[in-house]
Amino acid sequence: MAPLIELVDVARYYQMGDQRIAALDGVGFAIEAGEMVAIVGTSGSGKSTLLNILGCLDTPSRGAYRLAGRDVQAMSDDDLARARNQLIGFVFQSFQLLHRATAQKNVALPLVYRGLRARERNRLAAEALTRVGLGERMHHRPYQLSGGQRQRTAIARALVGTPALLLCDEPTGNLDSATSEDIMALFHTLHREGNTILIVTHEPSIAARCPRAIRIVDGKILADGPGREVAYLGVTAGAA
Amino acid sequence: MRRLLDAFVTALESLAEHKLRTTLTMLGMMFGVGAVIAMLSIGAGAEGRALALIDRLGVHNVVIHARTFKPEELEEIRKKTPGLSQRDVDAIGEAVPGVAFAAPKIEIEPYKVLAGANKTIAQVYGVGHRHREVTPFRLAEGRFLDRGDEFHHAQVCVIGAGVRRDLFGADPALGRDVKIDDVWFEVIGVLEPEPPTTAAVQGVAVISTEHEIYLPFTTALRKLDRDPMKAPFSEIVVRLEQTAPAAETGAVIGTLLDRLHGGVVDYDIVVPEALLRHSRETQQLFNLVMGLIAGISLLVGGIGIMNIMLASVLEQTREIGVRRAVGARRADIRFQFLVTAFTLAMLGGLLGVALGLGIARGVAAYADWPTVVTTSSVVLSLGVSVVVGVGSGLYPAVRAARLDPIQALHAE
Repeated sequence: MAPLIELVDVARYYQMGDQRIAALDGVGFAIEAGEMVAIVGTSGSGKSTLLNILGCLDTPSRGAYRLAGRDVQAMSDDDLARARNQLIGFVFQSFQLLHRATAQKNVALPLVYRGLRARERNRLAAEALTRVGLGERMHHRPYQLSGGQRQRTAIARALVGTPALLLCDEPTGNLDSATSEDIMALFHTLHREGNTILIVTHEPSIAARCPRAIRIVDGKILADGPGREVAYLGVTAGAA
Repeated sequence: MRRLLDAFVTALESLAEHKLRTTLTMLGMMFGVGAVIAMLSIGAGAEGRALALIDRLGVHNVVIHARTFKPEELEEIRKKTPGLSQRDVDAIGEAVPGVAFAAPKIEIEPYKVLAGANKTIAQVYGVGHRHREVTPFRLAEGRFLDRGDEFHHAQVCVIGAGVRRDLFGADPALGRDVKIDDVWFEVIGVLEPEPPTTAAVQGVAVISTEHEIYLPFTTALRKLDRDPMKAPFSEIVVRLEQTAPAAETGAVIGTLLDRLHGGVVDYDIVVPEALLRHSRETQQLFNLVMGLIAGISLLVGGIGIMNIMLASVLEQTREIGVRRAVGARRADIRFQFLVTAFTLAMLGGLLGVALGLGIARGVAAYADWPTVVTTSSVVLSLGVSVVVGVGSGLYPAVRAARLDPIQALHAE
């Protein structure tokens, strides 16, 4: 079976005045369904660009990206939106919840764009919230929730559409260390349940706890291997 | 359909989030629509009233009134002309093409009108037997004055329903006698009751027949005392043939009277058809100006909506980014903003309809001015408000849809 994610020689250029800057420069790897992978790199390493491309928010300037057997680089804007809706669940550093909506409504949001009935959306959202341990807080609004609860809500929103890939951008970046532990534990549980999880992070400690990590430096892959081995590669003691 | 419903709910939620702002924006739309409806209702009411009054004057008539003058002026005038007289009536009837006949009318202000022990106040008119053909009368009892009455100076009268009530109550009136000043008249007919309206169309008074008494003009001239300086006839109503052009015939009559009166203009010629045309033109102008003013206020409302929508695009940039990230297409975002603008305009418009109805009622009740709220004015103003609203939402919606999801997600 083909891998869930396949990147072949992917590059992404930005035009800055006369200069062409390569945020990504010939990146290639494959991720199988059910894997838990960290993409680790410092800021400016190109990991955010990679996240945007993996998340179908952006397309590569060069190379090929196949997601669940589909060529993403050739997709139209509407196809990309559909791919985000059906194949990807995003978890953001800043949670990105709609502050006026309840947790349940927030979680149900992706299902709106699948054309599901409100009742069905609410049922699935309630299920997803229960899965992340927030079954009791469905009708709270984000400002009534703690940081950890907000991120759990966001994770429930990512899970609600049973996507092929959970794409997490610095998911613990805005959380204290104890809550970070809880959220990482949740990711591990979800991983054990068979979800494919990709965590983009600058923290080697997070990457070290993933079975596999890919370290990005200057838009290129420096290393790709077990998390413990790759996480701290090329990191000086001061930078870590 | 589900998409529309979802978008509508989302629109209401996002509008409810900024209640004050939403209300203020809706007010713009509300006053616009309210103004349109109120203006049009006042206009339609005025038009209806004018038409009704002109209708009573008769579109196929030309009415000649004797002018009133100060006594010293009148003295000068009477040296040159006796005023409106039988000579004028005969001349108009014979010499002016397109005239069917001319009916004279004499106004008499009696100092007393009584029957038995009952008194009343009435306006007395001496008229020709064809008067009935130029003014719509409906008889409740008896008959109208005829040629014989006119020829024999018969002391008979036709009384208004109000006069009948005052003088005879529930008793039979036909055949009874009424004393007007010092002359007795036998009641031969009673007019149908009608609501009391006293009004004027462009200076031409139209009065209810309730308190009127009609006599043969020949009798009035001969038996009742009148100011000798006054013209014999107070009014001549000229009936035109169906095909005769009213304005032109009116002009011909004017030329003729000018000659007969030796150049003294002691009369006014009123052409109801011209009044009607004039009234319509005035009405159209009124509607145009009011429509323009109201349209401008709707436009201002629309600008308010655009302003708010642009602000909310900026404000909701992150939300737009989130929605795009979880799978909203550009079209979904655009649609959402359009529906929000539509909702804002529609709610404002509906409130405006309520306001317009309220103003129309208020004007009718307190200013005693008839107002007619037509369905078309409601549909028109709501339609325009929705078009303006959606039109104003278009640009913000397109801007929202064009946002790059990555930048939107990282917006502050």
